[in-house]
Amino acid sequence: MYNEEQVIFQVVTDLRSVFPHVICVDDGSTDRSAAKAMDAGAMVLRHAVNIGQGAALSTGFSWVQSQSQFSYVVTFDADGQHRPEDALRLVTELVSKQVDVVFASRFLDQDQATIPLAKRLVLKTVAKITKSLTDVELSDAHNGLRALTVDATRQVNLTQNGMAHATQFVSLVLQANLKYVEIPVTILYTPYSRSKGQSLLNSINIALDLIWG
Amino acid sequence: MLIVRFLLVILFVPAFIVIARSLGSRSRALRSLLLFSFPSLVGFSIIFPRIWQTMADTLGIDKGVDLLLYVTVLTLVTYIGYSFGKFRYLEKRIATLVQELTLLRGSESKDS
Repeated sequence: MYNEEQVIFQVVTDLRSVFPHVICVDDGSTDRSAAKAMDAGAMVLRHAVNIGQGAALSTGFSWVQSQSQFSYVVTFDADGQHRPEDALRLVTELVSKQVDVVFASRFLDQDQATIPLAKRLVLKTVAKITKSLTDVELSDAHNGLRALTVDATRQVNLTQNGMAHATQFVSLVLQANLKYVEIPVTILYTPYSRSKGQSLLNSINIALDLIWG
Repeated sequence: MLIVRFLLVILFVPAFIVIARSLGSRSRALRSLLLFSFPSLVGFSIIFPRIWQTMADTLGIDKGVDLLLYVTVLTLVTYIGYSFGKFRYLEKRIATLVQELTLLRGSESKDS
């Protein structure tokens, strides 16, 4: 999370009604995000400065690997665009299908009219870039909602610190021969989550990050 | 003379990319040479204005001014590329340090 003090309390509270353990990686927030997440019952890992969402995920994975009591991890955006019940469905799918990773997609079921046009354009472009680089057919490669086993996190060593981590994540899943499925979820588009989303220009940054390495 | 220009691009551009991207001591020395030779070349150009035309004639390029332009652009692009690469390298090192520090500090909660 990065500067999410407006929504993080509610996001963590909702998640805690479904999952007993919620870990927030505070990516150098300058507001009271960390305190509010803790007030809602989350455990918080703090980055001293802002280094990017990919790095935050990587820190979270490393921390989970160092704890013995966890078997599964769900990655969940802090801006309130995901639904806890979808996160739970991802874990159920992970266990029942016995796969290593479950990806979430807003393009399988959700009414497309509810997804802003610019967002659709960006995400479809990024999905095409991801497909051309990884050869994995995912309809929504940059969806922040994913579930994976802790063993799988050991094989997904993210080095992309920025938003390009999502494409790298798919690539690493493929390289490690991890079993995966994609299931439909619903994304909640609020004025807040829209303001926090990726811009069209950011897809250029993602492409350049992937090219430069 | 198009073939000569084409060969120059084929030979020099990849060499400059390698110099720009590499962070090793040899590439650093080459970059320093490039940087320091640039003012020397400027001085040479003032004292011997025909030198660029002579070099251009040797390389089969029409005008000395064109050669000067190619050298200037290549030098600039090399330094921009190098600065970009170095910045990314440092950014990754900072990220690693921040992550290590976070993991050493451990998690915080309301009860801690």
